[in-house]
Amino acid sequence: MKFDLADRIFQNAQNFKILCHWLDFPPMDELIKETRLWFATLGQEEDTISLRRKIWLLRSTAILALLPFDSEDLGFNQQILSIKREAAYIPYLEERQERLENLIQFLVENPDNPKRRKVFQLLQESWIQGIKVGLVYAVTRGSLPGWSEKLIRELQELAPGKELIEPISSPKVLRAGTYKQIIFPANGSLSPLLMDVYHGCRTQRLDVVAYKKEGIKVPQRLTLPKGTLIKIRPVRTLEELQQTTSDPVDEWAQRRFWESIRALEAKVDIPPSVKGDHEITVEARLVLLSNNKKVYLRDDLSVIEISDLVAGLESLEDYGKKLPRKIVNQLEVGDLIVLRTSGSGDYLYDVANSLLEADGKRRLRDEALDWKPVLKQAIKIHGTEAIFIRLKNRGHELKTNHRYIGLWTTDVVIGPKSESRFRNLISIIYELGYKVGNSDQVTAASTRWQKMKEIIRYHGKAGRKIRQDLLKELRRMIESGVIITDSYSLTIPDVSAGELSVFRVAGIDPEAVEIPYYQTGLIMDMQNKTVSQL
Amino acid sequence: MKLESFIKRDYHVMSTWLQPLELIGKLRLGSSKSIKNNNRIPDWASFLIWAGWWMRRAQVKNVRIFMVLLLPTRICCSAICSFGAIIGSLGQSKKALTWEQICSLPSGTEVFTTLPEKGSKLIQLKGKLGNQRNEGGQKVRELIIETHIKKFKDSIFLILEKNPYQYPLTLTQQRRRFNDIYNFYKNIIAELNLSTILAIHNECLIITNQAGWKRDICTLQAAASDQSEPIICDLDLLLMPSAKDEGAQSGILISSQRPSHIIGENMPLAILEGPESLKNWELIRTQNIMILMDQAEYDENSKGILANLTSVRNDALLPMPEGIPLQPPPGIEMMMFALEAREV
Repeated sequence: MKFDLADRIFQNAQNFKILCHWLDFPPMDELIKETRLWFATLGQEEDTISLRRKIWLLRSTAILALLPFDSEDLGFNQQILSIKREAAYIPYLEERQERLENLIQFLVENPDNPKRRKVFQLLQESWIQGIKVGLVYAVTRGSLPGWSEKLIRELQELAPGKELIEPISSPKVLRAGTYKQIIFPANGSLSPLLMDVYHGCRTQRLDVVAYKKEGIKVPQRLTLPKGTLIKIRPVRTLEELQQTTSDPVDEWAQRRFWESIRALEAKVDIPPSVKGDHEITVEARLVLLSNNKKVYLRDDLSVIEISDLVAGLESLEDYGKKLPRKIVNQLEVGDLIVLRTSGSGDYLYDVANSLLEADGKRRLRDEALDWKPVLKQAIKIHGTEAIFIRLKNRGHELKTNHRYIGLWTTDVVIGPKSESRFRNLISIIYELGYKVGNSDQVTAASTRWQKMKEIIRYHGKAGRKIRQDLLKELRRMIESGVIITDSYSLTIPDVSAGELSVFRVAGIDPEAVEIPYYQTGLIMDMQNKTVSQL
Repeated sequence: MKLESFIKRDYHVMSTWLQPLELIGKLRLGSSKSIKNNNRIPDWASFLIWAGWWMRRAQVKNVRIFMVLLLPTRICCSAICSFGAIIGSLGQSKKALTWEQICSLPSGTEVFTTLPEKGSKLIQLKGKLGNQRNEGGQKVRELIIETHIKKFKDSIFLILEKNPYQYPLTLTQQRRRFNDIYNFYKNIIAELNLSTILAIHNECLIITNQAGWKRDICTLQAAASDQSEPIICDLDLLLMPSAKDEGAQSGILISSQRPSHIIGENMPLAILEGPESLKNWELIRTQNIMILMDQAEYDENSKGILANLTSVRNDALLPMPEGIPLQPPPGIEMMMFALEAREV
C-alpha cells in the first residue's frame, strides 16, 4: 500500500525528532585523541597510507563496537600486532605505539562497552512498549570487525519477538518502510545511510548514540537555487541540533575510501586470458559487492537486478520473457545483481560458441573476425584518429570519440553496425597497406559481413537460451524462498559455459572512471586478487 | 446559517490547497485498503493536486513555467500531481481536441465527431485525419469521413483553425469505461460533459521509472462524492493512461527516464521524476515542467542544472498563484520560475 507508506513518510516530516545520547567515556576520548595524533604525526606521505588505514580501522572498530571490548570478533590484538609490525620501521612512533597499545589493553581488560549498554537499554525500553526498532547496521561503507551476523542473532534473541528489531543494512532496506524509532549507534560520518536517515523521513524518532568526542555529523541538505517564488517548510529539529566540528580522521577516511580502492587497481592481477588491448578504455563504475568483493562495470551497461523479485514486490510474470535490468549508474546499495563467476571470456560468447560447435561451425567466429587483428595492427601504426578521419571523409561520422574504433578490435562489439560502414572500414585497411585474408577488399568485406551476420544470429539464440535457463533457475530460487545475504550461486543446467552468481551490492562509486576495458567485469576480492570474471 | 447548509456548502474544505480548484464535491485519496474508512485527504496530497492543477492551468504563450518540488518522498507524488492536471484540464470545459492537438496528430489518425441530427439526436461519425493546408488565407485540416450512412459517405469535412469545434473531434468512441470516469469527475467538477472526457488527450507527460510508477499506483484510489454515496475509482483509470484498445486517446503519457528523442511537443505539462529525468529535461518540449525530487536524492548535479535554468529566468513572466497558504505542508520545498520559450 504505497499511498499509506507515503502518508506515513509525510507525517514523519512533521513529527521527526532527534534524541542525542552522549556517552561520557574517558578511555574512548583518549583513544580518539591518540589516533588523531597518529594522523598528525604520519602526515600526508603516500608510504604511510597503509598504516593510516590500519589506525583508522582500529579506531573505528573501537568507537563503533556494540560487542564487549574483549570480544574476539573485534580482533583488537591482531590489529595492534599488525600496526606494531608496520610502525616498527618508523622510530619516532615508538612512544605513540606504546600509548595506543596501553589504551587498547585497557579496553580489553575492562570489556563493559558503554555504547552497547546504552543501545541495549534503548531497545529494551521500546520493546516494553511493543515498538519495532530499526538499528542502523551499515555504520561504515564496507565491512568492520564486530558487525557480523553474530551481533544480529544476539539482538534477535534478546528481543521479545524477532519482528521487533530490524537491522538496517542498506538504503534499500530503510526505504522499504517506516519506523517509529531508529537507533543510529554512530556519529554517521562514514555510513552510506547518513542522508537517508536524517533526510529520508523514514522514522518519527531518531536516537543517535555517540561518544562525546566522537561527535555527530548531520549531513547538510542542499538548498534550491534562487527562483522567482520559493515556499519552504523544512523538517523541524535538524536546525536546532547541536553539531560538533568534523573530525580530520573521519574526513580522511571519507575522502580516501573510494580513492584507495581505485588506487589498488594499479596492482591488479589480470588473468593471462584477458591481457592485451591495454590501450582501449571505457567509462566504468566501481561496485562493491558483499563478501568483500568488488567489480568494475561499464557505466552504460544494464545488469540483471532482482532484489524486487526476491522481496516479492514483483513477479517474473511482470517481465514476460525479459529479465529485470538496471543501468549501472542507477544501482543502489542493497540491490541484487547477477554476475558471471566462472569460465572465461564473455558468457554470451561462451554459450554462442557451444551452439556453434554443436552445429559443426567451430571455425565460423575465427573466419568472420579475422579482420580484427589486421585492424588492430593498423591502429598500432596509424592510430584510431587517422581511421576516424578517413571514415568521416567517406560519410561515416561516428558520434563518439575516435577511440571507439579501438572497440571494434575487441569482443565488446562484433563490428560496425552498418554494412556500408564495414565495407568502408575494410577498404581503409587495404588503403593503409594491409590485407584481410587472400582476397580483394570487396570479396573480403562481403564474406566477412555474411559470416558476422550468422554469428549475430547465434548470439541471439544464445541470449534467448541464457534468458530462458536463467528465468527457470531464478523461479526455482524464488519459489524455494532462498534468503540472499551476501551472494548466491546459480548453476544453469545444460549450459556448460559456467556459473552465474547473485551478489548483493554493498557500495557504488559516486564517480565513473576511465579504465582499460579488460578490467571491467573482473570480480576481485578487496585485497585485489582476481576471483573470477564476468 | 443552519448547520446543515454550512456542511453542504463547505464540506469539501478539508485543505486550503484545494480551494482554488473550486470543486463541487468532496474528494478523497487513499489506498484500496483505507479509502472506505478514511474520511480525509492528507494536506500533502491536496498540495500536490493543487500543484498539478495550477501548472496545467498556467499556460502562457511563449512562456515556459517550471515548478521544482523537493519532497520527503516521491512515492505516488507524480500520479497525484497528474491527477490534479487532469482535473485542471476537465475543468476548462474543452469539448473536443484543440487545434494544436489536431495538428500534432499524424495523417491517417482515426478520430470521431458528433453532429446534431433531427431534433435533439446526435450522430457519431468515424473518420481519418487528412492533410493540412492553407485555404482562403487560413489553415485547415481535412477530415475524411468513413461511414455507411449515405449522406455522409466519402465526405471530406474541413476543420478550420479559427473554429476547430465546428466538427468537435475526439480520439475515442463513447465506451463504458468513460462513463465510469465521467460519473466520478462530474461529482467534483461543475458543468462537466461526457464529451469533455472523450476529448481528453495527452494532458500530462510523466518521465519516470515505468515499472516503479505502476507499482506505486496499483492500489491508489480516489473517492468523489456530491451528496450521494461516494464513487470510488482506481487512479489508474481516472488518469486515463494510454491504452491500446482505446485508440490513441490518453489522459497521461508515461515515458522512461532516458528518452531517446524529443518528446512532449504540443503537450501542456510534463512531470520529471528524480535526478535522472532532470538530466534529460532538454528533450522534453512540453509547455510547462514540474520537477519532483526527494530530499535525499537532490544532489550537486541536479542543483547545477536548476541553477543554470534559473539564471536565465524572467521574474516578470511568472503568473503568481493566488489563494494558497503561505507555507507548503511540512517537509516540502517549492520553487517556481519562468523562462521565455526561446531561452529553452
